[in-house]
Amino acid sequence: MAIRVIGSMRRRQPRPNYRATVVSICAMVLFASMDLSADRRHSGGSMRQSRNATRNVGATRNNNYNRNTNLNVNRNVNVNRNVNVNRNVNTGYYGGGYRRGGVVVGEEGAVAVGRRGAVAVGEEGFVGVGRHGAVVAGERYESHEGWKVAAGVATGIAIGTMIARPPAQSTTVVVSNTTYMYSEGAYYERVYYGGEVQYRVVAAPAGAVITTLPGGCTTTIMNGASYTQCGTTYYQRVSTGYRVVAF
Amino acid sequence: MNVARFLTAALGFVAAIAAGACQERALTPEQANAKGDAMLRRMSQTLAAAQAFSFATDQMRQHVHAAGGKTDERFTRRITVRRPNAIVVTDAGGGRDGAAWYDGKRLTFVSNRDKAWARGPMPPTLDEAMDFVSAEYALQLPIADLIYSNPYDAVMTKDTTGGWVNTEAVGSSTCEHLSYQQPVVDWQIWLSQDERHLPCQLQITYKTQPGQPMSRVTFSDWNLSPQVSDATFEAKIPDGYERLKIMRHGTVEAPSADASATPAAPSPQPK
Repeated sequence: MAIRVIGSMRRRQPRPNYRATVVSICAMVLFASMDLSADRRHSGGSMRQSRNATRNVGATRNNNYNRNTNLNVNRNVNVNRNVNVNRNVNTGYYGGGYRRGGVVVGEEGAVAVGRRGAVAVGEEGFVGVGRHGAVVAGERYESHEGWKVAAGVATGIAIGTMIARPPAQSTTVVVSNTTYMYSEGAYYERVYYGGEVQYRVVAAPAGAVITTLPGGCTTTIMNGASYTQCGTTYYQRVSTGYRVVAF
Repeated sequence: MNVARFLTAALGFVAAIAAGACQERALTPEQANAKGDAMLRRMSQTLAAAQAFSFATDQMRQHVHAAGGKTDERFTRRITVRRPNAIVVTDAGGGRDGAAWYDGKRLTFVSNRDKAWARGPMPPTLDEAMDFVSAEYALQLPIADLIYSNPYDAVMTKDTTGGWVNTEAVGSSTCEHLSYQQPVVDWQIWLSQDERHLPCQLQITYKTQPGQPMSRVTFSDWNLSPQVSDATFEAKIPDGYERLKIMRHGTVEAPSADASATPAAPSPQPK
């Protein structure tokens, strides 16, 4: 979670909402210590599975989130909050009981996994989650609302993010016999993860048609044709709405 | 008359409590550990000797929410195992309606609720498969330890403490209650009192997880000689279901530096 950094405010005059400011600071400190992506690592395994999931944690993935938040608030009363949250999150699943590396390369084809968890699709339709065991784009959320709380509504949901349920206002889009859910400029592909169907953000599939464009789009002209650009996605006006165009 | 009955009942109750307490006090920690260990080994031998077995479970799994609080997910599951490399699981209840098959080569999921299915590769034995589904497919099964060829070795470690606690009722059965502590999980198991010592109930608390969620599995309908064939473990995918990709944790590194799914954007000309 991004934490707003408040610089030195010595030159500022005192404001009447000092109490609210302190509450805000406390809230920020609290949020900094919360793991907002609950269920990032599934619980519910057997004793052996649980042991393996936490084994070799230092060798799997080491995400050092160094959060250095200096909150200097001087208003007559000098309140100095120096918050340093160093979170060491290991999200690997390296098991001790099963040797990794090429074991499943066989009739179903190998899985290609991109650096830093980028997505690559295997021959038989499965998707690598990341060579260090991290979920693509790092996170899985219980719901779209849960993601909003964690990420902040101002940002777009990253490709690879998985949520357990599609957004409440999503609509179904079928492209080449594949069903996607669409909401607020993001496309969700249904995938199996943890033995359950999840919804994973993917790049806009070419050919998808939506009836209403998301906000913040601009019009561009390319090769004499007019397109609407929404983020990194380009749409072309068609009789039934707006069709995703790939160049 | 009523007073006499009351006193008789009260004395009986106190005597029963005292008897139980004496029985529990009679065991030192070492004795309780040895008693529990013997029962676990017997359970392990029973399950290891069964070339095929089936059972049903009522499961409760806690989900911890980021904002605090927990919710309990409950569902029933039917599991049939054939050693060394086959298992079929069917789920119902709690929003679940699906099945999974493992045949020594592949794992196939079907979700009737979503009218979808998925399939991924698997190692050739159940022992490897139980590790693999957790590590690669993030599929957590609290009962997985009972599937291994040596369940005792799966549940016990050198740093495990605990042992037999008492006898308790689980549903309509009286079972032996064992309790153990490990660095990652605390777990309790209730075993049948007969010589097979099959599990009546299993409870696991995940101590290192935020909120320390818990799973509880109540077993029923044990069958150590079910009628199974290859067809039992063949995936049955209804017509019209959509195939989904299965997410897995990678075992091989990327052949290329980056495989971003986002296509390169053209150079637009602002209007």
